[in-house]
Amino acid sequence: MIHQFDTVIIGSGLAGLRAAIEAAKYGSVAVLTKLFPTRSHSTSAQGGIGAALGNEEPDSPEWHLYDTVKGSDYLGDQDAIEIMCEDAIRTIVELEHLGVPFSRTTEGKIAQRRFGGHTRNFGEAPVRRACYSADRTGHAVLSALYEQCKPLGINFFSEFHVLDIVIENNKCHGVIALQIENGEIHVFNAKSTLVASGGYGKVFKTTSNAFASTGDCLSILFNAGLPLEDMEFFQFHPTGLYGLGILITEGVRGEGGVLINVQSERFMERYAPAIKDLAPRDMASRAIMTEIKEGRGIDGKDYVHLDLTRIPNQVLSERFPEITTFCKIYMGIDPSEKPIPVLPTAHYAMGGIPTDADGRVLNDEKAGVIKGLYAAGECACVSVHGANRLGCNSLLDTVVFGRRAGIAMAGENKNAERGNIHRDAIDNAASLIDLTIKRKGDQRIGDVRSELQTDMMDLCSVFRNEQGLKELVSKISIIEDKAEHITLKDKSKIFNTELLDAIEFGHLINLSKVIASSALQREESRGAHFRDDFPQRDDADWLKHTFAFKKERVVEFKHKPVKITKFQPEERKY
Amino acid sequence: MRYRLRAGSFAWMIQRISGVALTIYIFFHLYYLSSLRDPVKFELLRKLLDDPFVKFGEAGLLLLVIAHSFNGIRLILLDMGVPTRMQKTLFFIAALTGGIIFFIGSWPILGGIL
Amino acid sequence: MKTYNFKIKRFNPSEESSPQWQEFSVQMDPMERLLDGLIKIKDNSDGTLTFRRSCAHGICGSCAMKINGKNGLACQTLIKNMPERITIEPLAAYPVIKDLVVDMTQFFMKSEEVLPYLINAETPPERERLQSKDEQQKILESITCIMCGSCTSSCPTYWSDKEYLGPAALLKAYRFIFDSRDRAFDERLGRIIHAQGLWRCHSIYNCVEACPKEIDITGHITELKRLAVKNFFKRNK
Repeated sequence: MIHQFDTVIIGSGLAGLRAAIEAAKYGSVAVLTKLFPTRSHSTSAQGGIGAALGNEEPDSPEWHLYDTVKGSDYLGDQDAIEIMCEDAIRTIVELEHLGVPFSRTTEGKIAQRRFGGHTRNFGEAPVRRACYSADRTGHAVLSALYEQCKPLGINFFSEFHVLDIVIENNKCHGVIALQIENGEIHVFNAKSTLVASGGYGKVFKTTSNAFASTGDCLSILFNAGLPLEDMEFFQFHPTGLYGLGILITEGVRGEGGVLINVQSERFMERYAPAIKDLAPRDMASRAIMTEIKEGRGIDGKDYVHLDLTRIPNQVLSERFPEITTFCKIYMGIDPSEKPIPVLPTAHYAMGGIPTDADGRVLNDEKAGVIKGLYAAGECACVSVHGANRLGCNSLLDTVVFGRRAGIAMAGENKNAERGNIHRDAIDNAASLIDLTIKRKGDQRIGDVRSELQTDMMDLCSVFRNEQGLKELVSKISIIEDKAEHITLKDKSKIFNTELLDAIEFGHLINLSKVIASSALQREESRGAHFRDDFPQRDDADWLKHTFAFKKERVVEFKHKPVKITKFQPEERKY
Repeated sequence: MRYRLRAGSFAWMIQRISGVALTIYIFFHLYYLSSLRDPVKFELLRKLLDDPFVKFGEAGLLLLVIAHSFNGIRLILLDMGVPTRMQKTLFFIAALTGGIIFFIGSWPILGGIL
Repeated sequence: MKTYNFKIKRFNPSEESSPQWQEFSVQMDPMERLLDGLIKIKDNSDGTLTFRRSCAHGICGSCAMKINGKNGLACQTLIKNMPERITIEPLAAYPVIKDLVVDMTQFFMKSEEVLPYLINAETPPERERLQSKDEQQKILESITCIMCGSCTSSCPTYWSDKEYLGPAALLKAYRFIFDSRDRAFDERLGRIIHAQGLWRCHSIYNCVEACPKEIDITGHITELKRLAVKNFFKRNK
């Protein structure tokens, strides 16, 4: 079936829906999601969305800008960061007007809490900047945006799995997708296409990400010859529930929770004397892993404790009902009585599809763009997060740049023609399914997938080194071969989730290769990318973005300078 | 529909069954009442009431009335704002007090034959 | 590790004429989730087993199903709290697409009937609209709904009357009717006060027990009923 729209949006998380609301003011919009819109992973965001509202104490966008630049380990593009921080206040107010049920101060304003790396007066002390709705901020914002899409007549295509994004002669013509329910192939012909498909945390074994976070669209674009930017930077959130990876928001440390080791020592005091437990995530994760490596994990095991018993019970139950429930259900622990075992968990991809500040997808390191193709949200790399994202900046990123992409698409659509999607592109997509279903061999997805995820976790997580990364690259190559021999038992056209698993797994392998290769080529330590063999930041050689291109079975690299405007790189101390 | 039965849904079923049963009973009741103007029929019915089966029926009627009215009170209380977490407790209180009242009430009816 | 018996209702209506029960033995660690068990079956025994899942920690609402006769989320059910024999069925009252996957189109349509979005045509202030903590508290519970469908599927009234709005849609109506910032009170109330709306709820409390977010749904519906009655008398005074 062929559909014609002005704008097609892949992904119904915050970035996708915010863009949809904007684009719908000027033309027809279709939103594709492989889940149902409110099941998007944005709903899992807990702690908050950052903006210098100054509702609880003095704050300024300038401080927010400084913190984000410093948090990014100076790899973030400062012009883009400035756009985000300057637009933050307007964005939050707008969300509130759209109906987001934010938690409130006693005066009835939007309540704010402390978050990692957000400080007052250029690093002096933590500041209350994260606007929140208890510990369900993502859920609250996503619901409100989805609800507001309704009266605008936006067309939702739920449970549609994207097979291909069609690009010809440097112009995007739309999307080919599989209707999961009946196995039919649909073609979405559009003047402009937005990729807002989210992250790809499922490349790692322990992750806070959803099963759906497999980075399909990044992999599709990479295969089409487009670059992926800064893929070596993957954030590990310091506090995932031990063994499960389920996230405990940084907000709990903003409200007084602390990390402790086996000696009951508040060890973050040693790593970040000024802001202690509110150090940025890369530092906190490394600190935890260092404590464990040096034998100070709890009971000699590989975890530390997150102590929330210091938070008054009323604050805990009012502001963190969700995580209190998680801890009770999954760990059998009441966080008001006992500390929680935590370990860093793969959380957020700083890298992704390179875009300009209006979401236009770049086709090289020199700012050339693809016509009609946009990206926003976690899948995109503007880059505002650089080498390490600060907590509560990701939700802000999605709504600020989602909106900008929506406006830019509406503008481009005015003078654009819809191109044709040729028969052979559709046939290619159909044959991908046929081939996957008919493939014969002795491998099972589950086994090979967990092999990949374990290897990525062991060799490419918080600490990395040359030997390990080289080993990883060759292991991924073997896994790639094994994947050729995966057989499916489910041959049905109806809701074939085994087929989707297989397609997604192909994308995971692809992205793992890019992540590992990117990590191998960057011979320095910066933000979330830490190399044991190059433990120092090297601004002389590496203050630049990585652009990874596909070249047959290997990855090729080019680089792009970082935009530095207000803040020159200096040593990053907290 | 196979679904696990809980206090709330059990109470709801009892309310429906007792409601239907009492409605049917009411019609018979009215019919017989209207025939009581005739002395012969009156005497016949009076004798019928001594029949042990009818006595059991009468006790059953009491049970239906108690179940329906006590659960009805429970529902009204919940409608008036008694919190939901009390609904099970209210069900058990209604069942217990209803049971006691049924026991006291059915004694005079069944006492003679048991 | 302990062995559990998963008895699963399987059905692919487009290829089979009737549902069938299939049993699987699964080795489970006590701290694992029921969802982990289903994934093990899919990965190791039968790739055709079909179910929805995404976040795996009870916030996205994908994996609602009937577990041992009661609706709940597979990702929020710890295996150690389960008996050795576990019966798993798709959510009742929605058409089955395949195995544990049901067609929830009707369920979502119900919510749309109650205008599920904030309506306020007044010119907004330059900053946020103020809302007191008490006003926020009023809607706090209702905003935690994840639209998993457990409630409506557990409702005996809905089983017999598919035109009934159902608990989830009524809860959505509550969320906006009691939001101090909303201005569509009359219109929204009008959309729930009808034979297949508010008054169809018979206080059975199945929805409350089924809700994985522990929302007191019936309590919220009852409050709407009280509001409707008050409103009626106010209008007719």
